[in-house]
Amino acid sequence: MLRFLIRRLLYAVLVLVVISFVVFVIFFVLNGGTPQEQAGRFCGRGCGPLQLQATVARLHLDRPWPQQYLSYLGHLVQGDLGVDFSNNVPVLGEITARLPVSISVAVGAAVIWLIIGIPTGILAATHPRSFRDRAATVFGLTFYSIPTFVLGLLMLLIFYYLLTIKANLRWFYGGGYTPFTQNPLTWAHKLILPWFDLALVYAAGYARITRGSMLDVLGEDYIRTARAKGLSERKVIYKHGLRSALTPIVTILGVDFGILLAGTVITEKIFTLPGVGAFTLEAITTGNLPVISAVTLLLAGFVVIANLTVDILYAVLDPRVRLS
Amino acid sequence: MTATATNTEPGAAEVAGDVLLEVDDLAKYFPIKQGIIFQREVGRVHAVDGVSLQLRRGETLGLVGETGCGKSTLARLIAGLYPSTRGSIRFEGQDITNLSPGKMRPFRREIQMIFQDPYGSLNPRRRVGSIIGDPFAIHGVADGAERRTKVQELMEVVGLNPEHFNRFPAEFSGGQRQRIGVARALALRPKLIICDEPVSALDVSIQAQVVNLLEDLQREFNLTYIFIAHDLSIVRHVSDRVAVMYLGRLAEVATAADLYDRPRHPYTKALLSAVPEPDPDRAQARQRIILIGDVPSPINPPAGCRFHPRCPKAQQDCTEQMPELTATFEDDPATHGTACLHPVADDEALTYEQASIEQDGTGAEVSAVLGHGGG
Amino acid sequence: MTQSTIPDLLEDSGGHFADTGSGGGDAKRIEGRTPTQLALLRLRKDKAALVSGAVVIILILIAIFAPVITAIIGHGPNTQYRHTGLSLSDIPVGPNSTFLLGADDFGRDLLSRLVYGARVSLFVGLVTTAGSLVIGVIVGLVAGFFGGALDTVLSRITDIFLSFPSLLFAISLVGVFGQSINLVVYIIIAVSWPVFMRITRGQVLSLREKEFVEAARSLGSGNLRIMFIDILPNLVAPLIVYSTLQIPVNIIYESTLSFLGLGVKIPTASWGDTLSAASAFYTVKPTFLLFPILALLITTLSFNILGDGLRDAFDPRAARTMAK
Repeated sequence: MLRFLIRRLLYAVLVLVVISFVVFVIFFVLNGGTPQEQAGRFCGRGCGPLQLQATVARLHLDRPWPQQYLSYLGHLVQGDLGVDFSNNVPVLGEITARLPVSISVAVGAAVIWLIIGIPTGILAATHPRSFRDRAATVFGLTFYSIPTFVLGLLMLLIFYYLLTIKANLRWFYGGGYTPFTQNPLTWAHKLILPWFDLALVYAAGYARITRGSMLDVLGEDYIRTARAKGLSERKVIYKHGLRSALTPIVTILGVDFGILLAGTVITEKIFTLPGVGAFTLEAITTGNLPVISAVTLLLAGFVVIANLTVDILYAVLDPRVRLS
Repeated sequence: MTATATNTEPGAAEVAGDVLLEVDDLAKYFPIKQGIIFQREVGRVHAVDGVSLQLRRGETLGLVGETGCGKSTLARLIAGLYPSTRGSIRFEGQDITNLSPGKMRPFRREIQMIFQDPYGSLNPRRRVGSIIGDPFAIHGVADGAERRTKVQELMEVVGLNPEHFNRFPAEFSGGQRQRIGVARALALRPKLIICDEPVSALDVSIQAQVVNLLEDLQREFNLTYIFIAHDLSIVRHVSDRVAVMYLGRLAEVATAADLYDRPRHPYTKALLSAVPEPDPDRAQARQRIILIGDVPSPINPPAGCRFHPRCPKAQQDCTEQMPELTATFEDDPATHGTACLHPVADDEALTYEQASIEQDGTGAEVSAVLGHGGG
Repeated sequence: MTQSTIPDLLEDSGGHFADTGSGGGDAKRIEGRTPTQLALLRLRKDKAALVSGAVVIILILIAIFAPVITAIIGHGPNTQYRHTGLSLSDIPVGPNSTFLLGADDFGRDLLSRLVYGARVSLFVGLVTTAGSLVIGVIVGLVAGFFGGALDTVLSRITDIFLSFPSLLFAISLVGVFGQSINLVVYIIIAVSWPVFMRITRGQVLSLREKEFVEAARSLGSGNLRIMFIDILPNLVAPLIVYSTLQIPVNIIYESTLSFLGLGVKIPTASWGDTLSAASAFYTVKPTFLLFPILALLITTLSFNILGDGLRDAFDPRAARTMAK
């Protein structure tokens, strides 16, 4: 087990280094130009020659790129992800300020989709060809075919436009965010639509996967043996079947969660939530490279950590993984 | 079956010129690796550990042994599917040990293999004609219509309807699929065919058909066979000579008649005593020899004679010396080699023998087993 | 020397025959039914899949004949009709006799925009799927077949591609290089090839151990030949299924990027871009939002249903009923 942990950790570190290198290449190498031009992108349009020089010096833009990369790494390790040139605030701080929003969206959605998706999948698998199965399959298929942003727009159309404006039933908000610490109820209330937007699409996918996985497992011989032994159907499904069926889901969960964090971008745009994603989108329009590069790096790092956590969890659950 | 002739040493062929295949001290170890980043070898599986034998043109050598004794590995070593760790293989006098794929290619036309699993050895997504025609395609022997004709000829030879060459393996029964495998092996008129348990996966009634087919083909095309099986009665029927393997080494080699009538190695004797006897009276009269313990792991084979932890005749020198394959008693022909320091004599009964050294299992277990010998 | 084993030929062949020949005497050429033909037979019974297949074909035709369609309608996709298309307060008109589906925020005919948008979506969807298929299969084939260090390295590289949060990746690249359809295609291919690599590698790993591969080797077949003649045919069925299912994923991807302003350059028509514009008007002209949503949904749903149908056709086990 320890061997596995060490190997897995080393690999995660390797991936992080590779990601940092790739980000570096994208933003500092592929982005050609003289050191002054490069400095301009990191300093903003309002920068005078003195400030440009300072930026060149700070980012070592006049040195050969291996040295640049090393200094880049050095900055990273110290927690310096650059400075937002529009307001001269360190980017890291800006990101951490907006992180709770994105995390609220992501975690809430994840909880909901697990609650909806997995039982639906189980239900469909255990009552094949029944109405429940068909309904679940249709549900899965429909929502799986909808992009998150379309669903979000549809939700706004139905729940906000039709209900709130036309029918005057003020049940839902059209956007905006209230921090949890300020008012937990409003916090949740405003987040309901974004949560379900993300959750339904993923729930559909998970229902599909759970159904397929359960069907595979329930077809195995040892399940037939359990039934033959006289165990109640409930025990057969939950105690024996579910455990094996869930393992592929756990892996996917890890990968999805990482992608999800990045994917909150869409929900934040549609429902006007001041999260990291919306922040990054603005940065693109203003050409704010320090922000873009920092966010990319940070969120990529999150994904790696999420994967690592899932892998470790998986190894704890399934001894075969540790021994491979 | 062609008759055997006199010879000079155990496992040897008649005259040097007639030797088709010679294997000398062949060994194959599979490494067991462990490590965090860089894997180190921490142990080895001694799948084949020093096998020497000679195969004469036209004969059938049966190769028997329990599961895991290394007979399949030996087959694949000879067929060039695994590189060998030690030793040499000579085919018609030429050294084919660990040749590069390019140099090995011409020999692949001469050495072919028939596999055990009729369901796994044929590609389910290819038509039978394409499968059988593979050797022609690979070695550039025939193309197009010519290839098709040859494939259909082969199908006829093995007893399949040549009109079926466009079908898929799924549409054939197990016995027919083995015939397809035989046809494929026969395509380039090889000299040696290694049959790796060719009938073990078939129904008994079909087994006879396939075995008869193989015998007919041997006569017609002057083939040499290595016939691997664990069913001793089939092996007796088809083989000229039989080799018994145990834990990667040869225990005994003899003509079929000699092996079955006068087994010298205790392991052989135990194996033979387990073959079902159709005649109930003779069955009752027979004494079964039950071996203690299980086959040891090939990762750490026992020192000295591999069989000593289970052998009813084991003595102290068995744990120290590794017996070589030699002729044993005086009136045994030189073809009959046994790797044993205390071989079994003609009238010896092993059922109630007890080893004089410590073996697998507790003393109580040993005597309990021996107390129930027979039947 | 013909062994006329007539009993042999009458043995249960366990298969399906185009015609049953009488034992041994048939002069006609007997064709076997390929697994593909069997799958097509099964597919024919799946009505939902057939309908979806027809829809897909219609969509492709619409995309190909877009110029013809717009010529018939009379409105090009980029021609702005500010007086007839927009109301006095600059709100796009709804469906009427001139604009069959209404107009967009620039007074352009919505139907024409959508028809040309189909071009972009389908082109990107098909090209990216094809590209990622080729790359993924080659890498997966090599990794799975040769194993060892090569496999480890290739798998790790694939994992790194997988752990890159794709949207973020896209954001950063567009931030550096600007928008273009080529960039969109490259990004989507870079993100989706690991899917095919994983599938291929998994299949190859199990196929590699099969005896028929060993048999091919013993015949003298070289590695290349084994890979393409023995292993690849066994991959065709799952690859067809996964390709069909990957197309809508890639289409969604493209529309998401366009929605966020990262996709094809304006004024090229794209469904995502139209949706983005429409989202600002949904409170006053909901049809502007509704029609692009329908277009996207119909497309993705039909590919998904078709893909599911194909999967069931090739591997009926997945749909089999569990005996209770």
